[in-house]
Amino acid sequence: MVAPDRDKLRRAFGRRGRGERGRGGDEDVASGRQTMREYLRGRADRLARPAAERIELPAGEEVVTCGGALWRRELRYASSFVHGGVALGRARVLDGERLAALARDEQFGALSVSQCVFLDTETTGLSGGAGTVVFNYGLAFFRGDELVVEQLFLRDFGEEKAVLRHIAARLWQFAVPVTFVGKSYDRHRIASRMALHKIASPALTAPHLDLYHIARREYGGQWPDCRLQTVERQLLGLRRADDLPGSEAPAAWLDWIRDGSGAVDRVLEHNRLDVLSLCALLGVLAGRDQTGTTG
Amino acid sequence: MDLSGFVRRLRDNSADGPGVVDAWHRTEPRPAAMAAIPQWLQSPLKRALQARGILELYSHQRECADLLHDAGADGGGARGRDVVIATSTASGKSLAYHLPVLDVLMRDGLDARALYLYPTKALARDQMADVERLLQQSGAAELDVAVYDGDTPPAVRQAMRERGALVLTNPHMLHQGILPNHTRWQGLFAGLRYVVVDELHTLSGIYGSHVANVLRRLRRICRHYGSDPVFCGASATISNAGEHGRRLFERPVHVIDRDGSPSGGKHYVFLNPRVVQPASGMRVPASEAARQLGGALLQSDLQTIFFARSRNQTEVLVKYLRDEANARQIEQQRIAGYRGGYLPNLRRTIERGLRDGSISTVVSTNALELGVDIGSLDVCVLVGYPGTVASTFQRAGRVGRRSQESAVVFVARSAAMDQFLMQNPGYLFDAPRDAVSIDPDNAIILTNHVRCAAFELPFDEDERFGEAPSTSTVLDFLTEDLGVLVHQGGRYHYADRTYPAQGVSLNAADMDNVTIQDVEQARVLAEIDRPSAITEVYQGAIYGHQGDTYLVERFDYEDRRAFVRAIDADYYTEADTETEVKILQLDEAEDHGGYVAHRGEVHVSTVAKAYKKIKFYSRENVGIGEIDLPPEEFDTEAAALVLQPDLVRAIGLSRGGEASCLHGVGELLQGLVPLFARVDPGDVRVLAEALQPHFEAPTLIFYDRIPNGVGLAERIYRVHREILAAALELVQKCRCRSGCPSCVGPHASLGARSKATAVGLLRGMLGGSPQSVDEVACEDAW
Repeated sequence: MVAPDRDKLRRAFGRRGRGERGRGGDEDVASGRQTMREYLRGRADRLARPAAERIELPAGEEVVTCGGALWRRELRYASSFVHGGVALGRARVLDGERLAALARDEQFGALSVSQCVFLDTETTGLSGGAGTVVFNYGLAFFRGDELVVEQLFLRDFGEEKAVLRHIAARLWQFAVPVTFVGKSYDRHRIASRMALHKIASPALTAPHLDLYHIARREYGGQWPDCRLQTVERQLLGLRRADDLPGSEAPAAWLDWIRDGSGAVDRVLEHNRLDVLSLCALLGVLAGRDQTGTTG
Repeated sequence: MDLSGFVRRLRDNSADGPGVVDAWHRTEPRPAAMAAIPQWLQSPLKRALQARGILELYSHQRECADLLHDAGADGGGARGRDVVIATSTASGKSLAYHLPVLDVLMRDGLDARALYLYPTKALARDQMADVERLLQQSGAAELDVAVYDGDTPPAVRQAMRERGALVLTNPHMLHQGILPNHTRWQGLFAGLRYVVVDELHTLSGIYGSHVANVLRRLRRICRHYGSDPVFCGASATISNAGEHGRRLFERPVHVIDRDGSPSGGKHYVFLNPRVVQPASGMRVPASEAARQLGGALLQSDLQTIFFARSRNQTEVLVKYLRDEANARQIEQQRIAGYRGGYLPNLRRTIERGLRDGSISTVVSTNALELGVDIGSLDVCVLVGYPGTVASTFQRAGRVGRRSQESAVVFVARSAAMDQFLMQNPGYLFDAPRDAVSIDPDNAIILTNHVRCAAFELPFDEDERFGEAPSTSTVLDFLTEDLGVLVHQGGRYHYADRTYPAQGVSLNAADMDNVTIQDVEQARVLAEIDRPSAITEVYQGAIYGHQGDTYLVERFDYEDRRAFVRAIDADYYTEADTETEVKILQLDEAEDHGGYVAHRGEVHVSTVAKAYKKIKFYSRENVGIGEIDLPPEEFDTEAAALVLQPDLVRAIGLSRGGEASCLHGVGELLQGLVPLFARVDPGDVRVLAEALQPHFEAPTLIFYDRIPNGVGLAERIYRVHREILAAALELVQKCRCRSGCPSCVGPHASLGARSKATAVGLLRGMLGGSPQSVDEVACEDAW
């Protein structure tokens, strides 16, 4: 058998309309309204157009580690900083009894926020599997009076190992991840990436404080749904303006690593708001200091 | 009547018998060759063998076990060898690999794991029960053994991923469930010592080519986790088992094919049903001849298995045989049907009934071709040619175990292939024959799996995917044309939101099933695959089940459910389907004088519009009905042979007659395709059109019967003249006067001229000297 040549492959796949999907934004291909042949033609046209303007990352720093370079940015917020209508500092002292009751787990009775890392990720797909990449990690933790938001972002695939080592170190440092749907989602994605790179990391299993489960138990009957945006609106009084929907994040990053055109600046902003909300939500749900309530 | 009496009666060709014996073949009895139980086997396993009354192994079992045996650090460190064991049905192949595999799993604990692949869920569950029995009999430490398939509950899945020492699954689950999620199966892959692929011969054609690539992905992931498992294939006795195993595993294999199990002599009887219309060559239908045989067999002590070619034929034959039993005051329960679609419990009951003898006669589709344990039977009746040599011998292997004599009766249909075999029985027995073949480097199949593999692990720039000739071309195509990979830092990374394995089906059977619900009993009666549903469970259809008839009251196509009610029908139904092929694009053409061969792409749509009610026995048409269901459609590759006006004139083809004559030639060619292109029957279809709308000429179209095609039509485009030559030879050798079902079909419209016309047509097509013309340009039809 001779090696397949490119033209033959183009011909063969030129008619693979249904069931095949193109990349970000080309939803017509995904839905089968457009054939792959048209899609390929569209791609060729697009390549012929002058390159779109490159989206620059916000200010951050390049860190050189033994595993290679990585990009991170660190943002600091005073405890008095108000997110939605809630001061972040409300989470600094936790009402253990209340938290244990909410989470239905005794071990959170003695939880100190200094053990917590607020964690949210952005990935290339929802279906999971070894090919789903986590390209953006948002972490937040208290350092002294300040909440530190630390975002790590893959500028290319080669940086993943260094980023994962950094994340693993943070997970060793802070024993309790605080997430939203992290038990069924982020946890598996991170474990999968760690396994792929053979990095030993805490597995984000117990203890793991998933605020989604608390919100659903407490308010599931009252609200239309318990998505993060709904919870933010109800408990924090936060309405996001001009927020990039999370569902568009994968396409943005996939475009950006190809030609720099995806709106990854907006992905980072979306992720920043997500981790701030985690901190504020914990404060509202189980903070001991109940001054400065929802505005 | 004993077996020799039965065989004698067939040979006597009595005038009222079911047909004429055209040919005869007898295989000699073979004594057992035994070998001692190996010394290296751990004592718990020796105990288990003892508990089973096994004091010695067959020589092939010992040979296989020794080769697979891993001596371990204490035994000198020699690891097992890769093997393919190809011995007869029920010669104890599974035991031959269970012993060395379990030996290592017991010795090395969870550092050693094994993966078994079976073609069906039922078989995997069967084998799991067998392994568990063996472990129980050994009284040894607990090993976690479990089946991983679509029916495995989530809690068990989790446990298996962590502790499964032996995982039994199927290629489909490996492809869509396990490999893409290998990070959750680290323990399995890191410790993987053995991969056993059973029923290797079923991995042929398009399906086998897919599985070969799934195995490439498996080996790649093993490398990532640092394991290098030994591969064992177990196969029916196909002639190229070693070559087939080498292509699937892509490494040298030791072939074990000296069968040490005993077998009695076996009679192969080629029974051709009687000609009822000498002029047309029309014969008694094979199922009718089978019914007559069955009637005689019911009164004997001979346990019999009938292999029918379709679900419908299975059910009709079960009903006929139950009627025969009724007439002879034999209990109806002694006769059973067996096929895919029956629910697992029913199948288990039937298998047990066959083993303990409470069922004397079973009618099966290919479902009993695989290694399901049903004990040993006496007579096997093949109602029509199973389609491949391997299938034929798998089915024949269902009878004549140990040292009993047995008989295989092949009842021919009027179809070209069956009649060809009646004339050339040697075709089945004359080795060597390339019985099973795959093409793992098929461009489309390969590209799909490279994409799946890239999802699983990034590709290094210089990495080769198995023995694929040009991995980098495919990777560049996926990167630059399809845009699903990104080439960065010397590696190709998957950069797409999709889960590619979801979009790649290994075979049509992967598709979602339709459940058939009995409205009166409020229970699920059976299942059926979706493509078959439009011709089997449309509203008004009679659905056969264990010889009983059910009326389909409603078919909810969207919801994949059909609702049936038991009725006592004296008819069955047959859907008429219409297939339409639209030319989308032509890529290549060659002028052969009398015709022009084209290669290109087509759109195929098959719709069931009407059905006939056919009375049992008399086959009278007693009514018709409409079917209102959406078509099954897909785009694929095709080769078209377009007859030129000169040839059409020269052989005097007149409109009207053309249709039937061309159709006959088309059927004949389709029957012969598997002999020339290395495909399974059914992978390619031939459509004959007297006036093809695009070419405006009589045309024969060969197309890949799978969405998007996999390049079979292209192969046929290259070798089609050999197929034409074989067809001509067959027609000329056929003893009929003016065309018969064995060659070009009986055609009233052309009468006596039909055979001559077909010969003229084929000769005319072969006679012209081929000359090349430029590529024919064609408007893109999109």
